[in-house]
Amino acid sequence: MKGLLLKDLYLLNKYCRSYLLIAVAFLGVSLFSDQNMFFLVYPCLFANLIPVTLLAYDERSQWEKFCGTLPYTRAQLVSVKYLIGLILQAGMLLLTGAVQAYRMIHAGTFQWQAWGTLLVMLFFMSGLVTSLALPLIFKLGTEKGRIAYYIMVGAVCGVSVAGVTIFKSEGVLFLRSALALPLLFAVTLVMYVVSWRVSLIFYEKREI
Amino acid sequence: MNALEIKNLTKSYGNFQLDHLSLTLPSGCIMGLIGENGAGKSTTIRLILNMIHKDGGSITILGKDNQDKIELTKQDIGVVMDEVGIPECLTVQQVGKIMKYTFQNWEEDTFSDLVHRLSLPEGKQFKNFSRGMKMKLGIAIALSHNSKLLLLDEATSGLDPVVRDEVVGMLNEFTRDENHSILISSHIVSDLEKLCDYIAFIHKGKLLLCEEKDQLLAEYGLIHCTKEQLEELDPAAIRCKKVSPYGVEAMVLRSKMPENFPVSPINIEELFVFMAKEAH
Repeated sequence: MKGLLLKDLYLLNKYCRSYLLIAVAFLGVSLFSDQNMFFLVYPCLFANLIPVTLLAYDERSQWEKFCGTLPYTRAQLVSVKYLIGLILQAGMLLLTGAVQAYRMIHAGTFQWQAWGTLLVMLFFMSGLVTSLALPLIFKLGTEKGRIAYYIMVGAVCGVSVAGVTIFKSEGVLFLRSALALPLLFAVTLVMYVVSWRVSLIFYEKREI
Repeated sequence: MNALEIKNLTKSYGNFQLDHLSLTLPSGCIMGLIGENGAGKSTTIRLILNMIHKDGGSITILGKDNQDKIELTKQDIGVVMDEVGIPECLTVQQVGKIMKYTFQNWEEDTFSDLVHRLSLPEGKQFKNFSRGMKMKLGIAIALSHNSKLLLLDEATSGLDPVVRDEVVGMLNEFTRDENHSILISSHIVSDLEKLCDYIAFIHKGKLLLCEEKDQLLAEYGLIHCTKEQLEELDPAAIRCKKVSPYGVEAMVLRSKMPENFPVSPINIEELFVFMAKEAH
């Protein structure tokens, strides 16, 4: 799988450098915006869509077809995109965590619980992005997959907003409980595994 | 051992059906797959590589079933498809590094030699390559990992005659080793005629024939005559004919022809055109 990883790293270096620079700039801006979480959350979500961008480049160059002639399993072709997604997510979470810690320390509001909650929430949200997007792309291709993904994200957002509105006080209580962070972390991991397995099933059936 | 054995292979999608295709490529031989566009040549190669799923039949590559860990078998197969799907931003050097981590038997020196021999620019991005250069890079990759079987789907198309001739020479060189074999599909029948030991004709998903090239050329011939002369011949001798106001051109079985009747040699392209027209 090393060859697949190296190829994606070349593509990342060529096409996604600007994305990563934008993400870092957003994090920089977040240092000066006290209330607005957008600049803090966006880079993580952004980083997690990079595997989808890589798949779009693969599709455009017919790499998928070429790869079908190389000694790789279909599972490896799927797994490398999840691996890239996890590596980028880990990197962006570390960076976001450092920026947020600096911001909190500077404002004199640093609390482990609040800091940890933010990171696990970010891990969950960006994990959700990858977990929803990749199976759809592996099933439908990048064009149709993206449309299906946006529809699904819209539905998830709708349900989330409704949930937050109805269960706002229960939600805050839940996030403050000792169980919340490990549970959310575990849910994100399970989401990843389920998404990966579904992508494998879809891609095994696909004719390339 | 046979390099490739296909038995009763079937696959259907839409209006197309690959109909119980069976062929055997012995080790050390080159087989040319000839057929019109949409005849099923690329489908056959993609089925061999398990890129698409067969409906029935069996495929054995280098003694192993293609459903059984084909990724290991692919270490011994060099493939050039009609499109070489390398990402546009990569250079030849980067492709070489990726392949080094892809094939256990990757030979950097061989790849480097081929890159020079085929005049490929090492620092240029793939998107700036001409079609011919792209195909040449595909051929260089296929020949740089000590493969035992080459599967070439229109690999010589887009190459100018000089380079094509060089590639044909390289492929001939490849099969000097008796363990090396090639299955090649091409529209350029003259290339196949130069290269192949066996010829397989596919038409609308059906295998019309699969025979040794020399046998085919010895078996069949071409006659030019009048309609009246044709009618006097044994109908079993005539495989197919083209009638025009200027006379008749027919492909005939030499063994069934009268001894004194002049029969010209036929080439593979003529054979292919006659057979395809007859099948229509």
